[in-house]
Amino acid sequence: MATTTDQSSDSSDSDKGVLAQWTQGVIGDDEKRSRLYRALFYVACGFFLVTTLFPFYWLLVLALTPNSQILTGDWSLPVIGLEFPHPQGFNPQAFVEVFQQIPFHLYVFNSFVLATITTIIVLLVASLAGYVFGRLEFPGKGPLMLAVLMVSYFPPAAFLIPLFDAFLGNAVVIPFLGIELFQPPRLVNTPGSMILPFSALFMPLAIFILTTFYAQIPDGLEDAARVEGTTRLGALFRVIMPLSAPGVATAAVLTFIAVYNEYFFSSIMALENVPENWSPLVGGILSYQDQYTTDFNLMAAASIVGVIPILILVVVAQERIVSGLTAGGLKE
Amino acid sequence: MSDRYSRGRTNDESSVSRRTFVAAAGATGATASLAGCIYGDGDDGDGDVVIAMGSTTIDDVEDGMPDLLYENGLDEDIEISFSSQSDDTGDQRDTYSQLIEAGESEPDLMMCDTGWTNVLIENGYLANLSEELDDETLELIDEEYFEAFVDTARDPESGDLMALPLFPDYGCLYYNKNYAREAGYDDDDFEEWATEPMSWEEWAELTEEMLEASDAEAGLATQFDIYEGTSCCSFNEVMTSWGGAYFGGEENLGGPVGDRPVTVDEEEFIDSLAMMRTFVADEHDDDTLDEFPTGIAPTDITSWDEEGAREPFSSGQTAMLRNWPYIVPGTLDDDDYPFDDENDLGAMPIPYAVEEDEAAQPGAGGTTSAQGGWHIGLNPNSERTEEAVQVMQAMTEDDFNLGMLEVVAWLPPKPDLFDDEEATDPDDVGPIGHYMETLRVAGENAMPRPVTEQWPSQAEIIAEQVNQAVAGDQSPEDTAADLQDALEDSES
Amino acid sequence: MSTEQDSDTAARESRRSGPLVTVTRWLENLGETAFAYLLLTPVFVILGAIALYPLLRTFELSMYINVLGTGDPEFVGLQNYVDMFTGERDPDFPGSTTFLPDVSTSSSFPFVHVSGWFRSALIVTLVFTVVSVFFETIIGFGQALILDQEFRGRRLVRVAIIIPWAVPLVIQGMIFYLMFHPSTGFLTEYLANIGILEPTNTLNDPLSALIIVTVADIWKTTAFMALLILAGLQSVDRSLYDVAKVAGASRWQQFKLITLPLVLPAVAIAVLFRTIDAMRVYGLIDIASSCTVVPSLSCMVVETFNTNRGLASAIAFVTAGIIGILAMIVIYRQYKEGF
Repeated sequence: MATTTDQSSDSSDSDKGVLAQWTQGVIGDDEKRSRLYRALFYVACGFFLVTTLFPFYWLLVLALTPNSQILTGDWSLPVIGLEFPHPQGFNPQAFVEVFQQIPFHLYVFNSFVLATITTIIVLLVASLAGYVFGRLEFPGKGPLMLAVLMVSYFPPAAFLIPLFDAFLGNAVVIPFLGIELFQPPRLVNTPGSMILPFSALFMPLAIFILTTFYAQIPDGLEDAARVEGTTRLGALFRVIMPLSAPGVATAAVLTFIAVYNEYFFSSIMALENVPENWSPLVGGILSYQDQYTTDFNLMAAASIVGVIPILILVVVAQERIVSGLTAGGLKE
Repeated sequence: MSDRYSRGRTNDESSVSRRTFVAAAGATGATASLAGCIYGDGDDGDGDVVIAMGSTTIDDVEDGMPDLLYENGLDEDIEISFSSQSDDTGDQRDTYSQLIEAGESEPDLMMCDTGWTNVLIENGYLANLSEELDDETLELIDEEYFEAFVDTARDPESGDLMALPLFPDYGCLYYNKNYAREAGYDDDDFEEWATEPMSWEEWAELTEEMLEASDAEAGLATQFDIYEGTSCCSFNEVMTSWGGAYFGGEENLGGPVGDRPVTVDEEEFIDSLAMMRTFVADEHDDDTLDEFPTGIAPTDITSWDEEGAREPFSSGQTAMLRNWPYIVPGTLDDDDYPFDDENDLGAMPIPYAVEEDEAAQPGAGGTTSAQGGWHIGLNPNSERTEEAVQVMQAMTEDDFNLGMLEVVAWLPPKPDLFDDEEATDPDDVGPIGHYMETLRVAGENAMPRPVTEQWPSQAEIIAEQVNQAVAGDQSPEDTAADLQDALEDSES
Repeated sequence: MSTEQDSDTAARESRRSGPLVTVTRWLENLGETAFAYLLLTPVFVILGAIALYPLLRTFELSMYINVLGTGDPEFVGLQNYVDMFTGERDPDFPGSTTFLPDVSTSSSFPFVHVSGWFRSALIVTLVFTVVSVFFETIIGFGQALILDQEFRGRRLVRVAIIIPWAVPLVIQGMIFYLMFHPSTGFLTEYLANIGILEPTNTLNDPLSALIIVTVADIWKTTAFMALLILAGLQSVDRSLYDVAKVAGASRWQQFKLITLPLVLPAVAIAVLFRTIDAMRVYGLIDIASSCTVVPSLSCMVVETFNTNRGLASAIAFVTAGIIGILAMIVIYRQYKEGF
């Protein structure tokens, strides 16, 4: 290898252009290649950082600029004159105002509770299903999986009104026959009216994620555990789940964030957009609008206040779940 | 690995252990009950009359309104509480529709936008007030209220009153008096303009002069975004002032859908659209009207709604603004804006192109302002109808109307009250008191929008076509023809 | 030591009796099928009550007209569905005939026999889905590859990459709306100069608005793909790479022969669900632009929801059907080719 490189670098100086020379060097020389990869890595990193953070920077600027200046929309930089968002009329009071207009922290609290409870329910139920679909063979498996998937085909509006009706306490009726079955309790304005639909809506994704990851665990490991006396369910929770830690953590994170930011169902199930009715974070954010005006800066500030803690929580939790679950696992 | 498992579990092994799970469940249970403590029991108390309104409106009125009601005849035993709704008017309509459709008995009363009261009426979601209110009150409404305004609360077929008219809102044209002074006009002119509508040609000339004489960057700020506000109001005013109408004039506003003509592909409609295009265009071309100047409205109007248009005017960038009265306190109170008091901010009725007696469509022509405003509707499922009716009756008193004008700048629904001393005294009612004359003229020349069940989607179609024409993407003639087809389809 | 063993044995012995043990034993002895269905019970219960029941009611609703308000709902069977396809229902959908205006009058266009709104919404939704899923997968894969490496500042990069996903839909829409709205934005001018967007009335121009909405979606949802693919990458046994390195495989070969096949299931799930979700886009369009300008299938459902619920229900089912077909295609291709 080394000789070839030497020869090629010697002979290429005069005959070939710089680009060809460099390419050959990269193909041949390991060290040059790993430097190239490093460079590419940093370039890609930088690219991702800029593209994901720029809109967030814009959001920060929006939060720090008074609303009237946002509406004027003159973003020209002081000296250069080019338009680029910068926090004009620096106004960090917006972050305080967010709590003065409405009890925003209560909305955040609501979202947090709803997200936590839903995630726990979904993880549990979807784990059972994931185990079944991923590791067992039984008749009807394919059609059942398809049926679960089909739930996610429908626009949420398709579920809305019958659920709303039922949660209001109106009687549940057998479709097409019109026979009244029973009168459910009045769940509107309670967390139940939101947690139940959320669990159902986010279930298919969690089931499929967990199925995929649980299926990848070799049978041998499960069998070994069973031989030692663990029950089947025990094997699920003590062997398979830990070994699929990244998948479980991802399913948890995705579900949590999805419920935390949900608005469509909650806006209907909370008859009034007030914290007592368990109106979530986004309901709070939207209340900075009135009939004509929208306080964009407050909405931006509120969203930052709502998002940052969750972000930190999620990143920390994901790492800890993964490391915690894998403490006994494959990756040593 | 088999080693570990053979000895059974030890607590060192992390995993989703039972303990962790129990701890987590306990924690969430604790937070849930903590939430219960924080929130307590939401409780209206039985016997409260519940009035539903947008949350910002509630903030504005919850201190003043109940007292005014008690002062005007409401039994002190009857408590009032408010049900907070979204501030978006469309969301309110949807929420009330869903609640009533599902048979909910609360809220008892709802504030309904004139723009969709008829939608609720047609769906049977409002109780018939011609049967609930006594004859005296009904007569008072017939005789003393703004007619066009009350019509938006009536059932188009039977003429029954289906909601109590609460307060009207009228669009008019606001202008920067200082720019006008720089163009050579003075207070005498302003006084005349306040109640004497001018023609679009005169107005365009005025705007051009103001643009040349002052720092104003643009002429007219108005709303032409793709949303209902364009079809119902800002463009409706322009079209009607040219003598045009969507569905053949005033009698057909409420329908019947399918039996009324679509009168969009008509000369007056095309001309009104061409005029707006002319204002926005850089230079004259095939689509513009020669008698009007170009470049007196910014291209941005195709993306503006009420606030989008107001901000440039309030900050002094544009000379003229077409908008609702709500802008008055906001513009005058803010120190950052170059408007201190009524000597800086002027109002005039919307200009016209064609006189009323020369209008092509019945009821159109002359100065026109969009009919806006709100009514109070009664939930047919309500369990407290008697008490709610009392509330509504209290709302018909002069004192209540004037009181609300003071509290929250709600225009009185009665034209006579506009002349009232109290109504025009800015010390009592705030800056809006200076503009009552113009608003009265606007009120007497108001044109409601053709609200039917089809209207929400028709409004979108109209707004989209009008937006394209004003932006220059389509010629006014083609727009009119396309719109004619689309509306005819939607009427069938 | 001995105490530990004693307590272990004691624990084990105490576990040999009692009702819990009986249940556990019974569970262990269930056949595979019975056990499977037993474990699936919670899923059945939740999905049955919350998903299936409403869907049946909605389907029932889709067979009536005049569902709302006064007048009795009239049973019309499948008329709503037929009307959608024959074009009877076109007028109920504002703006739908103006997307790709020239195309709609061209007689050689393949969908010309299907009604106007349906065609518009279908095209928009499909274009949006294909473009966004394509870019999200590629970029997400890249992000996942980066996050899989150990390096300083990894946590920062991870936070940065997840931020878009953590931002609620409303705010995502607002961010891009404000960026391009003439009153408040700054980006339109630059992009218009390059010729990508319309310089004026940008958010009301169908193509420009579609581009903006797609970019907004890619910004947010790439994180979803990255998270899932990262989980897949992290599940790959590191020792495989070590073995490969020793055997002299290049990085590219390692990627192609180890990483790609093992990560494919995670990628497949991500692509499948992302496709399904993209086909249901509504909220983002409504906030960043409007349903009139960029019609999507879900837009159609929501627009008729409060005026003609029977029709809205029918559209929801047709939408689900279309998504189902697309999902089957995606699944089939993944099954056949391994992606």
